[in-house]
Amino acid sequence: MARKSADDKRKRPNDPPILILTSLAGGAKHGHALAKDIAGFAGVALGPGALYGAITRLEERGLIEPLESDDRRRPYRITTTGSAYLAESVSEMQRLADEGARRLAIANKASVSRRVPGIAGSLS
Amino acid sequence: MSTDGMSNDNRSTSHAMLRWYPARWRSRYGDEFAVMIEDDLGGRAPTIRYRLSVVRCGLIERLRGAGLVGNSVSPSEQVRSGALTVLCAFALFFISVVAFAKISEHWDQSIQGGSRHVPAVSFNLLASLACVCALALVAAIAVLFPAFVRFLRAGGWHQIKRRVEWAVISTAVTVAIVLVLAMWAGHLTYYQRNVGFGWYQFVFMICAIAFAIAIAAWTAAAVATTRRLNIGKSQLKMAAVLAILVAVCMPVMTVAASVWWGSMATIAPWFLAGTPAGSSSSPLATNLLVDLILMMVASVVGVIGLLRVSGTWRELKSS
Repeated sequence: MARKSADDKRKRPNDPPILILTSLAGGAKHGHALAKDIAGFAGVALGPGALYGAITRLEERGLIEPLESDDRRRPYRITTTGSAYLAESVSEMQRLADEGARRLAIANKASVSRRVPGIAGSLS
Repeated sequence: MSTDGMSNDNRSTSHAMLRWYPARWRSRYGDEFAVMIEDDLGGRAPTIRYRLSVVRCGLIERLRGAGLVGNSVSPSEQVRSGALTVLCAFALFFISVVAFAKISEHWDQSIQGGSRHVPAVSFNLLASLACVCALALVAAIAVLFPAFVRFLRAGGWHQIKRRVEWAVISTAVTVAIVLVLAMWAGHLTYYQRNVGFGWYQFVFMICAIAFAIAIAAWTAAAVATTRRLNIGKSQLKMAAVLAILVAVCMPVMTVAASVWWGSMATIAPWFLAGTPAGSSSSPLATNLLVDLILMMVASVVGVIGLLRVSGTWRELKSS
């Protein structure tokens, strides 16, 4: 079986790095605000460990950067490289979603035509 | 409880959780991470699941920081971490091999009938590979010695002083106990030394524990020192090859010890049970079982180090 690269693994829609980049694409946020935003749009509850593990990796790869802050809550923003990475990931996921939808439509059509003989012509 | 009290509780909880993370990570993210935990908990006590999640992520971060997982550090650091993992595994393996040598002492004299070919071959294989590993360790020390001298000349001694002192003290204690035991053993019969459980056996156990502590202390000192050395690429490659050799030898030695046990269980089970020759005895010796489990654990850790070294080898060559 072909081994998945680290990047392939990262490009799943519910992976913390993608969720964080998506959240930051809407504006700079600090850790707690990020977790709340992600829970809101994706329904994924990221604990502080998982969130900061992903933040560490993203910062190392230059996909996000910290902003100056006077209090202990340090906000982060997405970088140009991060935006490009997110755009590429989103289009990849979009292609996958389109392919899935296309195949599901074919499968549904086949399943309906099996159940109702003679309907195949009218569906096409 | 007052809001202030809850907030103080959360602060102490977040600081306690932070301790699972490596110091370097804490100095960069510690403050904001702690405040996120405080915001997250909002005065509530963390659940066990919450705590475990932070502990798991903290340990992963420690492994990453040590170069054992991920690509956060350079290929040479990853290879160095893999080689040091093999060194730690070998320290554990060395303790179990010494215990095996004690358990199997005079095994060949206990065989009355049957062929001693299989236990002899497996025992000799184990002994030979243990020598190969010891030589590999000496060779690795020789390879890294110039870098160690440079490190000392650059004033690095104070960075490792405490660990080396601990190692020297634990070794001195072990040697003192061994000398006492040796003098005491001269006044005892074989039966008093080897059968039952008395004061001699108690001191012997203390000696074994002191020995294990001394090995652990030297290993910790070696790891701390090697992490700080400025090692050239070719020296690192040589050390990595030696680590691979040791990591390969350990599972083979574990198999050899298992074969020796199996063959002795068939030919001379009384030796394993410590009963008179020729008697019917159970070959299930607890001390040997524990020893083999230690060997297996060490072998697995060694293979993890081996995989880290071999997985980064190509990147090291091209870097």
